[in-house]
Amino acid sequence: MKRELGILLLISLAVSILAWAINPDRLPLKADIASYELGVNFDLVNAVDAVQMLNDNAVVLVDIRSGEPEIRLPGAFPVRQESFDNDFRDLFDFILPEDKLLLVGNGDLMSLSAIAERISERGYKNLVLMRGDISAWERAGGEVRK
Amino acid sequence: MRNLKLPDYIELLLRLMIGGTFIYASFDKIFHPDAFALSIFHYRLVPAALLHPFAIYLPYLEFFAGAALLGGKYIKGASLLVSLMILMFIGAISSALFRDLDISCGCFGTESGHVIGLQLLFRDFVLLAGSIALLFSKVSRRQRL
Repeated sequence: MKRELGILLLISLAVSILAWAINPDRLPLKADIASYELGVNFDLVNAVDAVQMLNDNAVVLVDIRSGEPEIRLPGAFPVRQESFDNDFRDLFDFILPEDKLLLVGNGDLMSLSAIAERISERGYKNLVLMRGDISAWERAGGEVRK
Repeated sequence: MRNLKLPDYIELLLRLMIGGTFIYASFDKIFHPDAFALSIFHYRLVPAALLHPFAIYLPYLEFFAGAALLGGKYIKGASLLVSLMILMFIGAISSALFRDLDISCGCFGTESGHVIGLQLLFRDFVLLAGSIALLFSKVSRRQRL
């Protein structure tokens, strides 16, 4: 019985390591507990699912990174904390309240959550936040412009 | 107890029921490890360093233990593994109930809305009884699938 148990434990371990290694961005080994503690009220997706949603034209892409980032996301609407009202006004012309918005940032869920709350207060409740930063987006096959 | 003799059809039924349950329970977790990690986090029992490795490993453990029971291979090892996992689930659910946590169990999938409660404990005890019966039964080679 010990041998059988050992075999099952090892097979499971080997396959889980392999599955993780094929796509580590789905869940990094180290948990960012702060993001869990935040109790984010919006749906969270990994970079792979986020890229898939964009490719399926299921979402409007919103880039919340501040300033003028070197790596840009083609087609993304910038909605930054420091210029939120102006940025949101530009976005407002293109979206309906029922549209799903995918918010992408620099990996800091606290910033994403803060912007999401402000957008939500304006009646746009269908929001999805991407875990991870732009490099995760890029690794997942997301388009970028440098 | 070690040589508990179950009728062949009961043993087969137990294997199908428990193995099928574990395989079914593993699928959504394998495909959505991030959501499963959140479910585990809500129990507040797993240390931060182990949260994601646990969320990655456990679904595969469920899958292979269930597959072994279904396929009739390594039945003893699989039933021991399943029994230990169910004991862990019972402990986690009991602990959450004791602490009045209003959370979903995350048992069968990451989006299912099974709020933890006594009915979940009852279900787990039924599964535990079945897996312990398999553990101590004389496994018949004839009935392997």
